[in-house]
Amino acid sequence: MARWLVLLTEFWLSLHLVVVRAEPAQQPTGQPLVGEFQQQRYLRGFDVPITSSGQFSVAADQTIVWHTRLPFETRLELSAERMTQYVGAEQLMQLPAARLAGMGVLRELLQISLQRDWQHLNRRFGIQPQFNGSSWHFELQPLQMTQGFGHALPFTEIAVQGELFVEQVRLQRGEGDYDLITFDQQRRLSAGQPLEPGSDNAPVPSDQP
Amino acid sequence: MSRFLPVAWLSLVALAALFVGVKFSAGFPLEANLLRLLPTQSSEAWVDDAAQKIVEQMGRRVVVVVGHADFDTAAEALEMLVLKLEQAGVAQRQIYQSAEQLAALSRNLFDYRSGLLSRADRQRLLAGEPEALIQRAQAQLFSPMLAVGGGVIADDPLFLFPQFLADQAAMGVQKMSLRGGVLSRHVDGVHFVLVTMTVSGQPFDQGFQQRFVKQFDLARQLLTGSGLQVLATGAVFFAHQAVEQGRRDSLLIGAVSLVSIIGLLAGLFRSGRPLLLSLLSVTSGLIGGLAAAIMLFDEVHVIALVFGAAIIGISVDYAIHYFCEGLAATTQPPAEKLQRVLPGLTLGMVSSVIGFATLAQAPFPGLRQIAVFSGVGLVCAYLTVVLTYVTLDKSSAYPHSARLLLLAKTVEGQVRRLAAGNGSAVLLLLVVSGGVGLSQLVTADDDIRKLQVQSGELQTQEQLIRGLTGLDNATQFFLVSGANTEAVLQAEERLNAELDRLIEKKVITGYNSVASLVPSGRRQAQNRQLIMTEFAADPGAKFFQSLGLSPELSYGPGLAAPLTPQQLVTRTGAGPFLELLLIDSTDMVVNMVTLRGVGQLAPLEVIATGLDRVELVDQAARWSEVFATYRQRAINLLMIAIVLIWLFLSFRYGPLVAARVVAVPTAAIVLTPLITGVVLTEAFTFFSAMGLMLVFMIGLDYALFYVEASDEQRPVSFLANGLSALSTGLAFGLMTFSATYAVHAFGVTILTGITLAFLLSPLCAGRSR
Repeated sequence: MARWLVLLTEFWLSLHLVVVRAEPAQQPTGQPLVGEFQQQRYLRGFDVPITSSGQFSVAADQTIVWHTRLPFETRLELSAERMTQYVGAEQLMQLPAARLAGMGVLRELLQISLQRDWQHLNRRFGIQPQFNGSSWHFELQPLQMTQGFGHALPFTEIAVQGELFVEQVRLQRGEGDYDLITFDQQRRLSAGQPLEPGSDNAPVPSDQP
Repeated sequence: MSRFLPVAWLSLVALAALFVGVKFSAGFPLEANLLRLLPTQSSEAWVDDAAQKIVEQMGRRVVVVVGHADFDTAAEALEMLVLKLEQAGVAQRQIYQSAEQLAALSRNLFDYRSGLLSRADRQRLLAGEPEALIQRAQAQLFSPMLAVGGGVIADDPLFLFPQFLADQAAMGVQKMSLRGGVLSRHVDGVHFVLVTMTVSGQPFDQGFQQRFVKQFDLARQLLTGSGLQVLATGAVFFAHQAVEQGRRDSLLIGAVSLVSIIGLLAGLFRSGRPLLLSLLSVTSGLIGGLAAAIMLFDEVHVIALVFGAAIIGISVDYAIHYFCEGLAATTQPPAEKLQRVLPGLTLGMVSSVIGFATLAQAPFPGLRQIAVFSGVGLVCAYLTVVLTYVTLDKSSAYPHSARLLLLAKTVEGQVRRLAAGNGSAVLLLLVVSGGVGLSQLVTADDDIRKLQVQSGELQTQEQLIRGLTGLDNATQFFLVSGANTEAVLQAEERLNAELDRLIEKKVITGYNSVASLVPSGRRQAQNRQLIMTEFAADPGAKFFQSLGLSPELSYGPGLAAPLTPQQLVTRTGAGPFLELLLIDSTDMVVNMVTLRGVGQLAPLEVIATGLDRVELVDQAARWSEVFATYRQRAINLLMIAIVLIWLFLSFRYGPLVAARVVAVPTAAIVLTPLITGVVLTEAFTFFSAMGLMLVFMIGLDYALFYVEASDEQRPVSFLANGLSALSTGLAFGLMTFSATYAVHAFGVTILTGITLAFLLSPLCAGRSR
């Protein structure tokens, strides 16, 4: 009986995320990157998108911090090993990366896009970006996404576009749900510069989700 | 003697042999389940029913683990092995081992989400702290790693259901995690994947065991040679090995006994006829005992078979004494030889049968089988000697080894001198009384876990699987009973609350109960009411409004009727907790709550005492207790048998001589546990007690043959006893090397006891007759 309960929860997770193959830690890419984001979440059954915004950073060790400021302050840290979520200073949850479907592929795509390492993209997912002047974009279909991840991801498509940096990511989910994430104010930092100047982790009153 | 009786008797034996042969050809009905030796245990029938169902469920489970450096290779190999076993029709993958089945279960549970709260969420709401749940929901709603779709969010914006499932998982096996649809674990560069299967047949059915193990080995052979590790455990493997071991043991004992008898008789008589006739009586005994056991019980327990094979040790005595009778005189016609040994043979046979009949009075299936096998076997061996030897034995005298006889005369003379007068009686009295007193030094150990086959390979595999998976073999569990399902679920919830406290105190690591997954109707209604109440006002109301939802809209509609375990079973085809639903009759429902990682038993006993309708069952302790009870009962029966036999022998010898005769084997059985326990540090078990029973029977024969012999014949009788003890000792000496502890204990006891009985036998003849 105990076993099925593990399976049950694992499956619940795997319905929406994907278990990823444990990868060796990525080599630091050099300069950390910071910027701002706006995430619009379109969900079936909801008339308006659920919008949030905040700052993000990609550290030299590839740890991604997703600091949502509005409408509700929460901070998400995605490292090669785990995902940790905080509300204020309180740690809300922590999950190992191997249990988080989607986390690996998103991290890897972001890394590829930030470095514009198209060889890696081709080697890993079997695709090449399409160029239009200095801008580029690529779409990852489910079959391409499953490569190296053992089984299907919860996304039906991931579309990434950018120029110097990644500018927009569209995560298409099943049943018509999708996230549209746009990035702005991106800049590279010199070594030793704080990733989140002025960040005090203070909760921001949430007026709307 | 007319030829009719020998022919009729041998024809009967031939018929019995045919019957046994037919049974053999149809698959020998050998039972290996140690527990089948035991009687029903509890005064309450439902407890036995429930325990029986649990034993059957556990017995049919097989866990297979495949390891390889590459995860995909391990997973593919496991899948191939599972398919092979399924195609062969010997096992099926257990339910809820696939993602599809789990998805179906999740969907069915989701419909009742408002009544299903995790323990932590319920506590928060009971404490009036809905804010924590809102914060968690908001964090997930805005997370780029959103785990659910819009449809689900509208139905469960507080993410209560994933928390409920995670709570269930926290109670599960935490060492393994799901990857690629299989449970896996990565240890030291090796990916281990696991599947649990249910065997299609009865694990203790010999035919099925052989079929299963053969198919499993075939499937495993396909996987070897590519760096794969295949581990497996399950009752079917252990039972198969126990049967094979038992068969080997009984064959070995039988074969060595026969070979040693052949060697001894051939060496002594230098003629084929005594040898062939001895084999005839021994074989008649074995065939007769086996046929009677099969006829009465349909099947023979492996322990009864091993014990039964030991009657060779007794039955050969009849033949040996008959032929040795001719050694003293130059010529002695067969009829005269028989006439001389007949009183001894008859007394020996009747005494042994009285002993075994006493044993059969125990309400213990195993003891009855042993009693029937051995008792009927001895009667058959006796009848063969009495009815056929005069006709078949044509010689009045056989050439024999004079040197052996001379040696026997010398040794016997020495022992007789020592035993002369009343000194021997005093010595026997001292030995018996002193032995009884010192027997308190012997420690008894009835732990059933020590009675299993000590298979190195199987045990190693089981240990490895336990270490890898966290699955343990906890034999303690709770039985929760009630008049109906609702009452049982409510009782389980009270029990679960206590068990949660024990988890915090690290007394146990987890438990599984039906009520954890499907709470009682009352609890589900409470949970629903909590959600409605706690989120009716701000900040809950504001959270729902911001999403354009309301608690009623998300958690209210169509969910008023609570989920029941039976509904879930019906909706999913088979409930994940099917194994926990033990009895569901019109007037009684019984569920099981299993425990994991039990560190201490006392706190569990306290809980069981404090809660109504909750009973703690410690299965291993229960079985061990039964073995202890029957060990004591076997000793009591033996004591009764001794008194009955003494009374019987008193008719012939008078009470004093009869007491002296009985005192010899009694001294042997009193001294044996002292030597095996104190000197050899062997624990005294139920099987040791059974061994003592046999020691008494054989020892009594030695004493009877000795006391029945005339002065001149006593060296011959002593020699015959010596030959018998040697052949029996050789056979049982081999048993001490058995991997089955029960057989080992039996062997050690008999080897020691027989040696003592033989050495003490001259003490029974205080003065010449």
